[in-house]
Amino acid sequence: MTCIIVDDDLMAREILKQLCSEIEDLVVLGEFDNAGKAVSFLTQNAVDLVFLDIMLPVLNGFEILESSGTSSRVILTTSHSQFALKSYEYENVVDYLVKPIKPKRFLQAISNLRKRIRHEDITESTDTSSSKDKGKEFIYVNIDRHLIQVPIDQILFVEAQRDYVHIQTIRRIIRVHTSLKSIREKLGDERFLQIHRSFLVNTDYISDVKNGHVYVKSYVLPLSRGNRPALMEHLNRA
Amino acid sequence: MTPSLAYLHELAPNDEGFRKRLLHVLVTEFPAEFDSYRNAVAGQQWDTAVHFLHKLKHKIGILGMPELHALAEEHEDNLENGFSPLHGDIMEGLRIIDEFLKAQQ
Repeated sequence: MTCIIVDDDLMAREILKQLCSEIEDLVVLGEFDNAGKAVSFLTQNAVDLVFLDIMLPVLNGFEILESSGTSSRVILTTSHSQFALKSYEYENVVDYLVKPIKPKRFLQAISNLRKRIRHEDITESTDTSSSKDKGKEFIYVNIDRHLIQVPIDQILFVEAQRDYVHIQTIRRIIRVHTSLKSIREKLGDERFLQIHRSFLVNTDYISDVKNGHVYVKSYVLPLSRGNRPALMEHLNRA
Repeated sequence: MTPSLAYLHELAPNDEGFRKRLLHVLVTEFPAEFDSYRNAVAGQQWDTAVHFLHKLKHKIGILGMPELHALAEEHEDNLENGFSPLHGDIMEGLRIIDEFLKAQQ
């Protein structure tokens, strides 16, 4: 699970980093002392969780939620207990921690978040249950020297971008420093076909193929001439 | 109303380096924020006073002083409305912290 910390107070950021360091698979991708930098990061990077202070200069935490349009889950952190009620107005706010954050309360928040994610994964997997039992269920990718588990069922497509690949899952994008070839070998799954030199697609999610494009949920991906015959053969066989 | 470092030990019982680092930030930041708060109240600059009191409030919490923390929360609301009846009590608490942190140096 990846996260960022947004707080203008150095002590608050240090405390959160310390608390995060106690959680084995929680990777802090960045810390920001103002809204501008945080919003900019969130628009360019997929993050699972944002620890967001409410009382920030210029834009407060609630304004960040509104202006960034982030779909990341958010845990609000604040010294103001009276904002708790307002936090329920935001769908992606999953918890509310009052400073100074107690380690036990922090662990409880992370535990609650995991339960919520598991519940959402189960709900989502009802849409994809037909694709189960076709091999391994997960791959592991390395982000900042941490291995992150990615359910194969939930991968829509993988896009190569220079030295990185972006793994687009149902819910998020995961940026990994590796090659498309390496990911294809790791997946080792016949559901995944190369449709372009930069794209590998999970054929279970293809809804349409037309005019040199492959439609996957709300995404339109390029289909190269060379890869078209193999894709059509695969889809006709299905 | 006595400051304590128990919270730092609770956060990082086996990491003395972290505790020292955080204590250093406390010792470094507190006096400047205390002065800024005091000057802002003296100059009736209520927004600035709220800003610095908010920062001090977090430190009061870290030093395990729940009564003073509750008082600071109430005082913060008062300051936002331009009055400061609790200023004297807050100053007394902040002076205790100031002495405590000086002794940690």
